[in-house]
Amino acid sequence: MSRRRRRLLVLLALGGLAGLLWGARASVLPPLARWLDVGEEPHPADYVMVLPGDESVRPFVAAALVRAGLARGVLVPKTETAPAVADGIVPPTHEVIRRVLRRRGVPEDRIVVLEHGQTGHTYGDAVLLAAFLDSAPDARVIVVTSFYHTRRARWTFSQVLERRAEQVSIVSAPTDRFAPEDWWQRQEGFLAISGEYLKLVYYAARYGTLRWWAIGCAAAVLAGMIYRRRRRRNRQATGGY
Amino acid sequence: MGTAPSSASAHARSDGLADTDRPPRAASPRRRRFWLVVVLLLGAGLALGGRQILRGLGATLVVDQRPARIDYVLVRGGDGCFDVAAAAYRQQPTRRILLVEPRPGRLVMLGVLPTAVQTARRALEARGVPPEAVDVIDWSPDVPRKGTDRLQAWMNDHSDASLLVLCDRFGSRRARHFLDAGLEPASAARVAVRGLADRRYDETNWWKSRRGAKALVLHGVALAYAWCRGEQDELPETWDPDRYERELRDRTAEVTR
Repeated sequence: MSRRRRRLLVLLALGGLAGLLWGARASVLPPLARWLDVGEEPHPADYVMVLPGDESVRPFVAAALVRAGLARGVLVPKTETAPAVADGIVPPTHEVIRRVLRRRGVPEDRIVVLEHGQTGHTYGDAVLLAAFLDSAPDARVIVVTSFYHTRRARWTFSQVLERRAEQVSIVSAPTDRFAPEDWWQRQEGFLAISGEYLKLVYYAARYGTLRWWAIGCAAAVLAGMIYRRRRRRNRQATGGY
Repeated sequence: MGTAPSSASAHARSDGLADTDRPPRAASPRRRRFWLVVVLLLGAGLALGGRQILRGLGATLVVDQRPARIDYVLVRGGDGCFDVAAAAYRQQPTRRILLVEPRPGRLVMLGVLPTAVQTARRALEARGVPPEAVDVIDWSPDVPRKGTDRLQAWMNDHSDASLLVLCDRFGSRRARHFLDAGLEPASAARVAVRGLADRRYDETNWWKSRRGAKALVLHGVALAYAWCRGEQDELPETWDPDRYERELRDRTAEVTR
């Protein structure tokens, strides 16, 4: 088969596959969102930690866990100062979380703002929890975050906390306006799920071993290409087809 | 008109070998040279103009229009939007500031946060804009739910007003797209968009910070989504925290029983 015809066939196959996926999107896309959700059923713990983001849901879940007797206190990471916060226009995220918790019946003395540093990402949240666990080594913690963020949160916390990650369980918070079954139909859902996959790749490269795997794979492919070319040349030189 | 057979195919016929028996073609020196030049040019382009390429990538998300006439400044967001709106008012006190009230969310209903309009009014007042210079397109469940539909209704009542929309810089191309797609052409022509840069990054340096790179990627994805699906209705928050808490208590009671 000629090279041109082979390329055409590959293109047609790819186009057909894309069409097939689009046609079956209602059954293909929900598992992509569900795969991100590794949340566990909540079990009694000492603290529940609310990860910043989606403040109209996550702190409500944390408050519910405390009021149901599943945790005694709430850990709130102190967040980086955004420009609107610096200008005094809006309150910082940790303050919003604290206010929600108070409104939902969590007593002030049960709310602990983690102030060892300021965080603007999941890795920073995990570092703050690690510092807290240094002072409370036996504490068991439930981490509450949106369902699509649980996989990256679990992976990041296990990277940072290592052996102490056993003391941490992750609980999924639901989302408003989209669900795993229809996430691609709303902009919020599409941004959350596609953005989460991009962040997973970034985290795996930045904090994990993905970059070494990528370098290894690239080297293997290169070696394979060189080997194939040499073999082809040898065959041509010896005239053996 | 017939075409002369290429030398390769002529060779294939003359040597008597079928297609499958033919030896794999080695890359000709000419082709190899071509790819070498392409790789070298790409490398040189990236080394010399990498910054320009990245800057150009950022600029694709940005709209920064400076119209000669501005009657209303519509504040939709962006770093320092209230400073810019207040400066526009001070420059010409006949100008008015326009706010669009979004659907009130759970945090507003619970009293955790003031409404977006209350926040904006307070910020504008602190910057010297009197309350009477501020107009509001109120939220109401009876009016159309899309932002541009509500704006179109307002523009029909203000048929010669020219508008400057202030918004996030990387979100400005998307804002322009929504305006062009959602407003009548004559109305869209009366609206200009100015994207306000975040003080921590803009299109000239976004790749230097994690936050800038994240903003560029997410706004890029949002723009692509907007092109495909257009502007969407503002949906209410449907999750019920009280119900969640009740169900959690029931589950916990079952487990401990």
